[in-house]
Amino acid sequence: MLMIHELSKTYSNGVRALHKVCLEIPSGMFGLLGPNGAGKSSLMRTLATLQEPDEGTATLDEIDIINEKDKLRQVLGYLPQDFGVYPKMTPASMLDHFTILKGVTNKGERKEMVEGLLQQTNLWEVRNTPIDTFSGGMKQRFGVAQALIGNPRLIIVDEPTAGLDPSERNRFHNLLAEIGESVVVILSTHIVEDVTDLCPNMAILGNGEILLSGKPKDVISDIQGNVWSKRIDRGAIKEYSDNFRIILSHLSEGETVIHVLSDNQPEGFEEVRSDLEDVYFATLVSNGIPISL
Amino acid sequence: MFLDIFRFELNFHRRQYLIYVLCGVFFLMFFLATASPNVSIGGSTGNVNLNSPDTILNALAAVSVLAMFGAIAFTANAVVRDFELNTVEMFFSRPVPKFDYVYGRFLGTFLFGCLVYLAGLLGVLVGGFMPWLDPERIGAFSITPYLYGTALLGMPNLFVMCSIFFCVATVTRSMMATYVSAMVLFMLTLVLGNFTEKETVELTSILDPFGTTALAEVTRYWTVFEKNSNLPDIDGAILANRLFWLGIGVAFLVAAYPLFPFSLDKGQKKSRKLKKKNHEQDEPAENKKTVVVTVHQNFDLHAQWQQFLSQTRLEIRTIVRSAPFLVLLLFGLLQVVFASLGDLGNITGTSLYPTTHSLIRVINGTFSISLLLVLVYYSAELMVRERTVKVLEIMDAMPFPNWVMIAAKLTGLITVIASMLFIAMVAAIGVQLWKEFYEIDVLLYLKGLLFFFQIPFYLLTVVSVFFYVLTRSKYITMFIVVAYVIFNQTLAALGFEHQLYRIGQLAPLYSAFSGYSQNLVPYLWQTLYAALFGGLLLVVIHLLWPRGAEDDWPSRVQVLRQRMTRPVVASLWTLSIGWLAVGGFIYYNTVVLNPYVTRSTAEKLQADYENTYKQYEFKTMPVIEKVSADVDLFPARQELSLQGSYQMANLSEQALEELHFSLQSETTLNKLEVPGASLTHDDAELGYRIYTFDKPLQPGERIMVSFDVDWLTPGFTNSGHSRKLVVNGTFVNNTDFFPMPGYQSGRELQDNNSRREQDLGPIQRMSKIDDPSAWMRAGFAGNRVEFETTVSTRSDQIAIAPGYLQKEWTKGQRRYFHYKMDVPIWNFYSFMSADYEVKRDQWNDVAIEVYYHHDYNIDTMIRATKNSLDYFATNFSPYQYRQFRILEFPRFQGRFAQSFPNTIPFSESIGFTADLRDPKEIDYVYYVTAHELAHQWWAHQVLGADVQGQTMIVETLAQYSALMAMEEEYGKEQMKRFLAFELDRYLQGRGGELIDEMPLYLVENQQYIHYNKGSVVLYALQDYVGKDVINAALAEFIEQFAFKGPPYPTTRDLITIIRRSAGSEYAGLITDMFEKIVLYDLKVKESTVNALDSGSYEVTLTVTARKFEADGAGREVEVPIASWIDIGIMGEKQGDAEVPEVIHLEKYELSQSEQIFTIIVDKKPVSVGIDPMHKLIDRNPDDNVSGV
Repeated sequence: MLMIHELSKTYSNGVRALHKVCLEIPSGMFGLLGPNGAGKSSLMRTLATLQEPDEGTATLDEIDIINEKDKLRQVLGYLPQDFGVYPKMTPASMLDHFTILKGVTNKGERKEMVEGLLQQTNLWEVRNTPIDTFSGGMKQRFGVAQALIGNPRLIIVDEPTAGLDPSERNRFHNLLAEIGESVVVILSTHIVEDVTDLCPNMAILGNGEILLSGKPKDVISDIQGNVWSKRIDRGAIKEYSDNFRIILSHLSEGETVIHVLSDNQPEGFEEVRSDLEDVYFATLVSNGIPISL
Repeated sequence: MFLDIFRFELNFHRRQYLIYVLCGVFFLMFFLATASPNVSIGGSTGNVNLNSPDTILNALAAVSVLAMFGAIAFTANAVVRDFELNTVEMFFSRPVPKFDYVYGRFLGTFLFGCLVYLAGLLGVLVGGFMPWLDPERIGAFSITPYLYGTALLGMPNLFVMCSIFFCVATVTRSMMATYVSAMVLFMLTLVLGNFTEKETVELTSILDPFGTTALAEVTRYWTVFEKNSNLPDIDGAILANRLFWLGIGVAFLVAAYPLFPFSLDKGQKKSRKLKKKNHEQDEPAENKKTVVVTVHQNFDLHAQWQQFLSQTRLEIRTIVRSAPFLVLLLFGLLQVVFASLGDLGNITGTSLYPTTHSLIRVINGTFSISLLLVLVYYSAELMVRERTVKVLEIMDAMPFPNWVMIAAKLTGLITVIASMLFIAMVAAIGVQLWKEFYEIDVLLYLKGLLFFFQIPFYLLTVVSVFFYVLTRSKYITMFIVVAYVIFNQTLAALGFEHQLYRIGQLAPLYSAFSGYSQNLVPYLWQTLYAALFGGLLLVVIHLLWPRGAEDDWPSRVQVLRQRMTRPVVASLWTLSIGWLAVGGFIYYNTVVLNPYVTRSTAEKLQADYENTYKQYEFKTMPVIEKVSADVDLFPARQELSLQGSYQMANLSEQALEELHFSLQSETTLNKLEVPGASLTHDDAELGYRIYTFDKPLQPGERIMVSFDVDWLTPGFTNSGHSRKLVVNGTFVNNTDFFPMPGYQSGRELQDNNSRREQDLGPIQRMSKIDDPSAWMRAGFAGNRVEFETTVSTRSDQIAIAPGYLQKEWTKGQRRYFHYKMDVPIWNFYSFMSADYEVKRDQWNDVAIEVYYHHDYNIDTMIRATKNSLDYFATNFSPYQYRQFRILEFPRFQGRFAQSFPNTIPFSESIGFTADLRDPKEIDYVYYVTAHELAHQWWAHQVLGADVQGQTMIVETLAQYSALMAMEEEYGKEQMKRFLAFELDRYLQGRGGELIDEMPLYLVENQQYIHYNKGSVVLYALQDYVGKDVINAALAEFIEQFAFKGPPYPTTRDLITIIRRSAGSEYAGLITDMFEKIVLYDLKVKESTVNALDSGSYEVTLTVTARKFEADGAGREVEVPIASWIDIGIMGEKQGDAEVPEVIHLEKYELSQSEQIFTIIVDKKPVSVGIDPMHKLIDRNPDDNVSGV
């Protein structure tokens, strides 16, 4: 169980990244949704011991993350948002090095671990090819491989699917889904589908604060009956946005479809069978966070 | 469109601050270099004006070389920019003709390079006008040299460099590759700088991309006057070099056009995309099943050690695989190999044995730049590596303690540098094997390179990392470290000399006698001091080590608090206390136990001494008649004590009131008793005492002065121990520690710049030849004395002083030697002590002894001794002693040999380790031995008066004698090569003259005249008048003046005898040679050969012959020629001879500037020449000979 209590961080340039963030994250996959600049990466970095909070605490079971960084690092798997590797290194040699850094000193075990991870992440065939020639998906899978080294109890995956094409993303989801239920896995993303597909628990972060948390099906059912949709002319969107709380607009067969938030059915609107996307944008809109339409 | 692109380029750079910064830096740098009297970039030395054309040309060449680094930033930037900023698409989608695009860009960047250059030029120009510069060294202003230098060197250099970089950047699209190409050019000049001999420079000058070698080659023999007033003609080496490189520049520029990738499909990006595709296809569609692997993690010390090893391997791998490292290593190695294949510090082109230590010195000297660049670049680069490749966050979240990463980076870098040194060592060993020298001392290599290397790189690495964690910027770190290195080097010049803040100033000195023992103790203390400080820095580095994203000071402080654990605090305290304690101990030694004397305070003392006591320089005083001294040497302690006495007499006509003594600052005077006199002036600071006789000392009256002196070395000093008192190989002169009577002019500041700083007038080198009072003083050391000494030393060493061994005995752990000279000697003698081997031989009744450590050349020395004794005794006068001893002394005491009565100290680093295995090389061991032996005649038998020309009597005659002895042994052919060296050194020496070039007979201790010109002139003279005539004249000179008291002879006396012996037909020649500065320009204009029916050949040759007279500054006036000069005809080479057979060689009278000769010879002529043996002084001897 990962407990986060009133975590705050303001950068020296005045940007408030985190404000009294409280979360209780049980084992299993946890989705952290939020738009860019919501503070996701700040929270991830703080949990990954890379950043000092101004105040607040975070503990993983008995480990005080803020003050016992060394202990946390021993059970941490971290896949940062945008990462690279040493030039000209192959997955096999790089993973071997990371495995040593993770304290696996037994040579046989290390070999087994590296080979297992290469198989698991489907990099076996390219194990001796320099990583800097990899495609985005392959690189992300390598990133997961390194995060799985050892016996991590906390795995942090920051924006892993950004920039991946659908098949790569699918492959990547399958890989994440295999990670055991017994560890805490935090998946930070701004792509709602990632959470829908993978996470039994989730939270939405905006402006450095937790706006909503719970199980996806619970939060969806909470909003059920409050979201309505309508096909409109593209040009009319401005007019609608003055009169309705638009949470979503997308194109369907060349026409613009908008979703609005309302307690009652507005005229000309149909009821929508809400999903997590509606919840996400509704939450943002309700909290006054601008979204682009 | 061309103009648009060009304008775009200009506008782009105009908006970059880089151009302004660079211009500012260049202006300031060259302004300071020109306007500061202590810094010289133009190589303006001695009397050459600070704004002479020569100085300006060299300064502008330096500007253009440095502007290279500006040029590269612009050119590479222009090409790489579009790709890096991803504006390629934008540009290439527009309809720009490729030609306009490529060359518009080039022109724009070239112009900005020129702008930086002009800023530097302006700095040079303005700097020359600063009012504080010595007005005597500022000539009339002229803009011509600036324009000339810009046209000849500045612009062409910039053009060539811009073209090359433009092309390289175009092809590789990599800043790194472009910088590497700049490095290649830079290294090329450095490598070429290893070649200084005339013959090789002629070949290498064309290869120098900056034209400076060619410039130096053309002005090699320029005198001060010429450097101040002339500009080199654009022909010969300079023209060839400029054309060659301009051609290369154009070639690169043209090549850039087809290579410029003018669309996105070209270049490497495409291939990379393709590769990615391929990987994707290899991938199987199905995911493999999860493999559950359980592993055991542990984080104990053993695990940390493994982490450290793995990370270190990674760091090393990233360095050694990168291009800059490989380039730097390669060029460092090239430098090492070139330098060690060279002569290793020769005198006449004959190299020294490639002993392990001499190659360590080579590596130390030539490899340092490469090492330093690797250190500076990679120490900063490694710090930001994780961030650059974006693996930082993964790494920092890994469970390893900070020390693992810090230690891995430091160890990686130090390992790389140590391996570079190791590779250099392997290269050096390769050279040793190639030269068939098998005394390879690997342990010495390891010691010399890893422990005593001049840069304490292990410390510098820590300093670099420290600055990085402080600044978090790679570039600032590099800048600070370079500044720190320069600062450390220049601190001394600024008067900050203490070793507490100057790291690595005191390296132990090496000699084969004692290894690295000299100054080892202070070095070790200093190393400990630096190491503790480094340790302290490491703790601070640990505290500030960036981990994660936090980068503002509050976060750093927060993290620092977390890291302030008990062990950290404890180690901070321990290291601080240790560091301060060791620092205190060094301070105690260097400031309390010993005086801390900086260069400027030492010079101030010298100036004070001169100002206060020069008035007594020629004061009549009692003179020493007899010296008796007990000298006890304590090699292990590096101390000595002296109990001695002088028998002094009033040899003047008047009663004397006072007796003065100068004392040596390093010694402690326990006692100095002058009977019948009292101490009336005692200046302990400057070391001057005046004793006033209670009753004036009457003419002829004698006194016994006794003294007791200790030369102690308590602890260690800031500048290290005296090099003279050493554990093994002590070599001290009486002037180092005996009380010396009267004012000692040898203590005066010699360098005129230093004299100016101390408000002293220019040094007067010699008294005028016509000063009769000076005729009463011998050239050095006053008058002759009777000499007797007992020297004692450690029981395993032999102690030697001039004189014959009377008795030797051992008492306890000490060995005593009693020496006595049976004839009076000059008051100048040495005391030596070392653990010697001895080789003995005999010539007639003269015992020959060589005391040595290296046995390579002792047989040559003995042979030279015997032959020379033979020649000199036969031709000049008998040898005055019954013994002749040569003694090797440690290399760090100097590279010379010196002649004391029957005793010749001879440096380890010249004769004893010269490599004479190739019989074709000039045997300078033979020559030096003969020269020093000749001083037993020219100095110890007859010594000139203390006036101008005195060193001609001592040194030129010794040179002549040695040449004659050498010619007996090796023949005329080796003489020719030897004299070519002497001529080259003489002609070069003229350009470095500090005051005025004197004619030979008035030489004022100017080495290039009394040695180099002296050899050439006297050899030519004996060739003209016959060596028997000269020898007889010298014998007569000895007969007349040897062992006589004052007045002492001058060169006038010598020339009178030579003139008389030679006969009137050589009067003009003798005047030209000795009394004027005469140069010839001799040349074969054309020649034809006719085969005659008789089987003979008729050779007709037209020669031009011009003669010039120069004044002291080198201003030349042509004078009519009327000289007898050799005309020679040479045939084929015979057998394996180095040179062709001489068919005909005879002197012909030349009285016109152009003359035709017809000569009939029997053998087939191949080449003809005027003065083919180069006996006359000709600045361009190469055109003396030409093929027919």
